Amino acid sequence: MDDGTTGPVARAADEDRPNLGRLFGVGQRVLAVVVLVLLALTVLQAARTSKSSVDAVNATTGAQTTTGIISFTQRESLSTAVEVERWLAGSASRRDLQIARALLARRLATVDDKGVAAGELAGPEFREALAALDQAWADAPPGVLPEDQRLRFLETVSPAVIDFTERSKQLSDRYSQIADSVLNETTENASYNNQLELLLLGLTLVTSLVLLTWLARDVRRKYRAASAAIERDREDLDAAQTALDRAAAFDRGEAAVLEQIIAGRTLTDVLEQSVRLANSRVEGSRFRLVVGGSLIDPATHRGAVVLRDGQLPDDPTGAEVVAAWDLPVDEGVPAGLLQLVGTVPPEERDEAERVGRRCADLGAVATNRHHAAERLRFQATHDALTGLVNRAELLARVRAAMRHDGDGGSLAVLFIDLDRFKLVNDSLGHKSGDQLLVEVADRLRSLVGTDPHLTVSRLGGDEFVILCTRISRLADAEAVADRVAAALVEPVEIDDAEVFVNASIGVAFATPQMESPEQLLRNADVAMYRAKRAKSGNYVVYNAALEADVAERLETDSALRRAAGRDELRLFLQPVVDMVTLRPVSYEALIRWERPGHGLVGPDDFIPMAEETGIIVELGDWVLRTAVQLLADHRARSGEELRLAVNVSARQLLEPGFAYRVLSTLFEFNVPPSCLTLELTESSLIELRSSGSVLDRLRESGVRVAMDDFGTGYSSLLQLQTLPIDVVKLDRAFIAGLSAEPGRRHAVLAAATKLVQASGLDLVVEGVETEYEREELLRLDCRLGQGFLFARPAPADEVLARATGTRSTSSGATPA
Amino acid sequence: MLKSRSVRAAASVALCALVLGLAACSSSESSTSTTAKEGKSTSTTYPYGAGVVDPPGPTDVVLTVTGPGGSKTFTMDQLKALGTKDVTIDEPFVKRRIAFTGVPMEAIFATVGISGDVRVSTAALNEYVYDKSTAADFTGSDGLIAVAQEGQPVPVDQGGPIRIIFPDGTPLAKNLDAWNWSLEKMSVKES
Repeated sequence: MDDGTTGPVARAADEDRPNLGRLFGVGQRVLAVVVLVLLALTVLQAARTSKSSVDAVNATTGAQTTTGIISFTQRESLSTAVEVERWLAGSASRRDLQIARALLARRLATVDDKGVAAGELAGPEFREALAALDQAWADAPPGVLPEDQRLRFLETVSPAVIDFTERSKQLSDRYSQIADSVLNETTENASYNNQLELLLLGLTLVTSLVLLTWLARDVRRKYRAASAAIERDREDLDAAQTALDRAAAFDRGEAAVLEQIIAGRTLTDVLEQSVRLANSRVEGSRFRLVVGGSLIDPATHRGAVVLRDGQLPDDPTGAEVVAAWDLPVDEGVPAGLLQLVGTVPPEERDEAERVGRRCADLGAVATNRHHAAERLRFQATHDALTGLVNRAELLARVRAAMRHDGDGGSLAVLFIDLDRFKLVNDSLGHKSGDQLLVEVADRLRSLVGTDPHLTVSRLGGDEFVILCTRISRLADAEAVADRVAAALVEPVEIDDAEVFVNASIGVAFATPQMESPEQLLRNADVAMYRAKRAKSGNYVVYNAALEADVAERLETDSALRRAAGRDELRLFLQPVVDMVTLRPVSYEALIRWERPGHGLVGPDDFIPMAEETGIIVELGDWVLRTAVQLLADHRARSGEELRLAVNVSARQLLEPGFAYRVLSTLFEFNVPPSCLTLELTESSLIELRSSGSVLDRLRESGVRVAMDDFGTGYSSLLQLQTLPIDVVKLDRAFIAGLSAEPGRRHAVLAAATKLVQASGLDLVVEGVETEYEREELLRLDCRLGQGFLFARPAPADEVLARATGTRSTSSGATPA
Repeated sequence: MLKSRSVRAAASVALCALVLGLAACSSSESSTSTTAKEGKSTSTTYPYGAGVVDPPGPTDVVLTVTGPGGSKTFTMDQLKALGTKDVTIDEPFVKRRIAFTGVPMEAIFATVGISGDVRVSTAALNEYVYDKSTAADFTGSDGLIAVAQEGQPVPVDQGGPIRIIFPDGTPLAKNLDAWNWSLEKMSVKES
């Protein structure tokens, strides 16, 4: 239970509550002690009473009783009297009489338990009689009384004896008298004791009664107080129970709302329900919720009311906001605000505070979950790297768009693939590749802008797709393709390096016969591939003819993969000649594919595809190994050292251990490295600047590196000095138009050759086809040339046989 | 509250009455004992004697003892010859402190072989007989036959010439019947 709500009530009850823990008051305790003392005294008195009777008995043993003394006295007296008479009769001596009298005296001298002598107790009459008797025989002669004197003594002694005997007998009366008085005394004593005992008993009883009455009254009063306290406690408990019931009802409502949150009801619905729940708990006021610029107030509106400028309107009922709770912060921003408007009765304030807090929490849970769900949905439908729509979402949108096909327009997709992206990824690293993709995505996004009919997505890798809906003409799609190409013309700056990312774009339109979005995408993919192969233009629009092309491509690819194993590859050589002597100084090794049913296939027809599929690595290895073997064979046959150049693709150079493979092959056939030249295209060299170490290592070993097709790429002439090359092969483009417009071309050619020569590099001019061109070149001090003017590429055996001046016996292959 | 206060007052009154009552009891007791002491002080003389009894002559037999070893008579001197002992005791009959010289009964019993659990009958000159105790009772209570009192022969009117006494605190000292005075004979009681 919450302390804040019940605390004051509980404290008030404590103040009223009697001290039930202490059963007896101080007065009652004192009285109880008095009762105990009285009881003890009563018992003591009873003991005293019984002891006094015991004392009476004890008196007979420890001391002589009065009556005992008297009876003894009587006996001794009578003995004395008898002795007197015997003496008178002459049968006893005076001594006998004296002894008897002495024994009486002895007896009379004894005292009773109170210290009174027997003589006193016997009384004066007795004592006088005894004195008279003593007087009567005082002058008796010793011995037995003689006969002659008997008469004389008889006269005086006899009456005295008679009197004494009489007195002695009267001692019995005395005895009775004393016994009575003793009895009386004892009785008196006993009755005094009994009275005292009775008094004590009475006092005890009265005191006990008072105590009991007092206690009973207290117990009754305390019982009444306790019952009242219990009654109050029960009321408190009932109040607490009611509060708990309300809390439980709120809990159930809260649970129901939470269930709905989990079930995925819309945010507005759930928030409205939370507010309704809060309203049902607090009377006399109502809650409303402001979330995300909307007002939710079930009391005035259903659903959410969007606020203008986020400003709350005045409440229609004119109620004031009395309390507000933030919805707990979601990612640094409070999810909203719960307000309580109207008036809250004081007794409802605690409940309102509690309900408001929990309702705000509930609202926060709902909004947070809503946001989380939104985030999840976004993550499920978007590419994590670029934030563009992902493949699954694209397909879903294409499917949706295809369903609504014909609603005022057709549907097209642009399949965009970045050229040479893989090279960037491999040479500069994945991080740079990712940067490039993000930049491209940004450019595409800004290109599309807020156009609702255009959707940019990333399928994965370097493939992007733009979905265009409501396209009415082919020209519209082409316009988009042009805009994409234009957007990617600018180089992308990555790690202080500029990267050029040309894109190949395939465009495909949806047709009513089309069965799936995947088919539409595939068509665009086919068109894109065609665009990639086309030298000119950035995009190709799909048509049925492209299908066949795709089929052929697939066939070519699988055939090429088997070519090396089936011995279908051939090595051709084209000499580089000294244009003055016309003698070959070296040869360029060229690959040909003797494909069954197709004849001899030139490199242009399969090398680009091999580059894409990666077979280029195997083909390159084959060329390298065959070339080196050729060098070894030739030397063995003719004793001459030959120089060969082989073409190496950037892809090959990026293969791990390329340099080692080259050098170990040379070592295997015992061929000096200086006999081998690796030719790389200008663009490959530019891209491979970071792989310079591989080329450096090869050059240090003696292998020469040539830049092929100089003048076709983007490298500046100034870069020649920094590139790891030994030879520059000038593209035919420099001399192609030499005869048509000699002036300008000549100047350019002259500048280029001068620059190369100034850089200390060997220069070879490719594509020398006329005598005029040869002469012009010689005039510019270009000694080395390659071209149809001197020799076409021919099978290696044939070329070498001719070079050594001996007839080749092999059947040979027909020239290309 | 008022009511409880009055009850408390009543209780204290009762308590006071009780205490007063007890005080009264004890004061009456003390007055009783005072009178007893006065009574004792008055009986210091022997006012009931009459003349002197001739003391026994040197050859007069004062005690005859009969036991398993036969019968034996004693004159005063013969008795004293058995050995005497001086004791001062509370004489219970006159309630005075008196110094006695006596012959242990054990010595006398020994002359005729009286000992143990045999009942001894004692008889006085006036034929008073006490025979409730055994020889062992007498000797166990250091019983003496007193032959002198305060250094003088014991007068007959004070229990002489010889009498049985017991030292203070012995078992038979409280049995006054056993204090046979003016003793004449002792013998084994025939059963």
